[in-house]
Amino acid sequence: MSRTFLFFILAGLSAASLGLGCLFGPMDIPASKVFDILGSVIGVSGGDFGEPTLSVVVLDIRLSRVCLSWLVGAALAVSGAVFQGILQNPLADPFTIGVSTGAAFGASLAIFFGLAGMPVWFGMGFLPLAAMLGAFGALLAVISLGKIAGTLRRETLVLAGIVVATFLSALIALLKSLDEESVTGIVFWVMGSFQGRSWDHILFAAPYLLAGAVVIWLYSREIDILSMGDAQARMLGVNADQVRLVLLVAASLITGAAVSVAGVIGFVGLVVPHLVRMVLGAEHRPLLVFSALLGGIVLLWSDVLARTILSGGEELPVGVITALVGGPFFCLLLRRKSKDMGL
Amino acid sequence: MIRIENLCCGYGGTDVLHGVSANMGPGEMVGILGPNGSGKTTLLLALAGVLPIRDGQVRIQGEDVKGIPPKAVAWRMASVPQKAETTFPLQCFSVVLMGRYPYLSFFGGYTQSDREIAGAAMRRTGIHALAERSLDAVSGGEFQRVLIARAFAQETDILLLDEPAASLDPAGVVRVFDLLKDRNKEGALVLCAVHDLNLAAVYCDRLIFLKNGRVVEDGPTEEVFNARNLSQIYDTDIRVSRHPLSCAPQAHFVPRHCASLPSDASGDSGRGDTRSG
Repeated sequence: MSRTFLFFILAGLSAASLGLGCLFGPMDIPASKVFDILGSVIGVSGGDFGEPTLSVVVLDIRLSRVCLSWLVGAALAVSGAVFQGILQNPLADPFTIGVSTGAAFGASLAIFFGLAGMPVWFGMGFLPLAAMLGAFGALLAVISLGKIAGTLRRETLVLAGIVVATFLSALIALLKSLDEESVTGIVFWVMGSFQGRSWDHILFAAPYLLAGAVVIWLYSREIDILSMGDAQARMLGVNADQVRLVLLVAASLITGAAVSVAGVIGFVGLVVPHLVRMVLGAEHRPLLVFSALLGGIVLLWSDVLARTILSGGEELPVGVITALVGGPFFCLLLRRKSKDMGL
Repeated sequence: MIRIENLCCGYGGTDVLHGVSANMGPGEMVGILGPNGSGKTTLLLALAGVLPIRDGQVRIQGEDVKGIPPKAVAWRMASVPQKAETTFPLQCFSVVLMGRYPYLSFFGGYTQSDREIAGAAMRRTGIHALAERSLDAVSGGEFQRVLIARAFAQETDILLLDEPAASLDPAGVVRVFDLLKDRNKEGALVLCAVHDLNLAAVYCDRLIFLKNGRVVEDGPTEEVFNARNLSQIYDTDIRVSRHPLSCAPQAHFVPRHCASLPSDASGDSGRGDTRSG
């Protein structure tokens, strides 16, 4: 199957999923109505649906949520691919170097001090901003720890990331034990969820996602070269330390933005790049594009599952779904891989 | 072409090279030899710009290498490392195409002519059929030729190689060194760290022996490759005979169980290796 063909299939699936994802929700809206309303947005159908509330539900609640989950899935998969490449570690994911724990700590602090709902960004509340600040704080800590240890080599970075993440996890545990009431909020946020997210969240995350994506794309050839080691990269004229730092910041930026609006959602950033690599090979330009498409589709449908699987109308944190599905799936991937190698 | 003056270089707190000087011109094929830990790899890494130069100077085509931007260094000099890390299964062609990376502008991509040059380099090294094969599905010898093809694709006048024949079978060794010799005959300066003394003596016109981070011998193979020098440098008894076809000097070490046998090895007889029986 050619790459172009596969690209159109995945792009088409993404577009279809954005529409189909709007069919699901606690309110019973007939499919034809949903498609009428969606059609009016792109100018296909007329603008009269009788009930304005329906259009609010479909466009402001469902469509925004579906779009956000696709964006977050794409962001996590892309940054996972970047981290795996620049750290030369197939087990790296967007959370390896502690950026997500930083975001979780920022969010936990905001919940702990009761600031989570404080409106600072349109109607969105302080929580995402606190998480973003936490993510940046953690990234700065990791980079400066790495610099103290000498150069920004990948081993140093991973170690610094583990130190920072462990320390922050302890602080989160401390916050939880200090205040019983905020435990539920913190736990739910850390497991990741798209409940109650709106277009404001997309607007909040979009600039970081866009900036990060542009930088990663411009440096995507260098990821191929870095994935073969620093020595070779320098021999080919790549300033390895500097390029790795740029990519690290860019990937952390999109991870931070994704985690800020959605919480810590595991496995998408780890599994999706692996899956794409098995089908398309390891070249990072196609890997990034296809990881984004597949990551978006996977998280979008995981979120649909998260909000429909319980009959009572309660929602599961979407992070639970991705972990429950992703874990066994990853085992299958590993098994298939070892069979391919004749083991 | 390459002028090394009093080069000092090392890792962490220790210096490995203590003032290495050498001067190499176009069309030379130079072997760097020496015992383990003598600084062969360090010298090549310093020349390639991977290790920072602590003291002394390296000039490439008259310019101080410190003043040349990394990409511009890669226009003049291509390196084949001793070992390559292949974390992910890139295609062989992608790896060869990386040889064109130094010529890319920040926003530009690989052009059709870049692809043709990479393809030609793969044909030249005999790995054209592997273009779409992934790195984890090729043999050690094939992988070495992928790296050499990448260096060829860089179209440089200088080639640096660190033990390109390590871990290859005899056929692979000859194939790789024949390729290097061809490139050398076209005028390229080939500088190659070699562990195998006899291989170096057959292919290189000039040998530089390093020991403890210093140059101990440097000169035409015929002059420096003799039993006395080799025995001293490697701290073991070494005898020299001649290659049956090329007449290049060939070294033979002396195991203890035949050290006391009589020797007819004056150095030039056809069978100078004093085997028992």
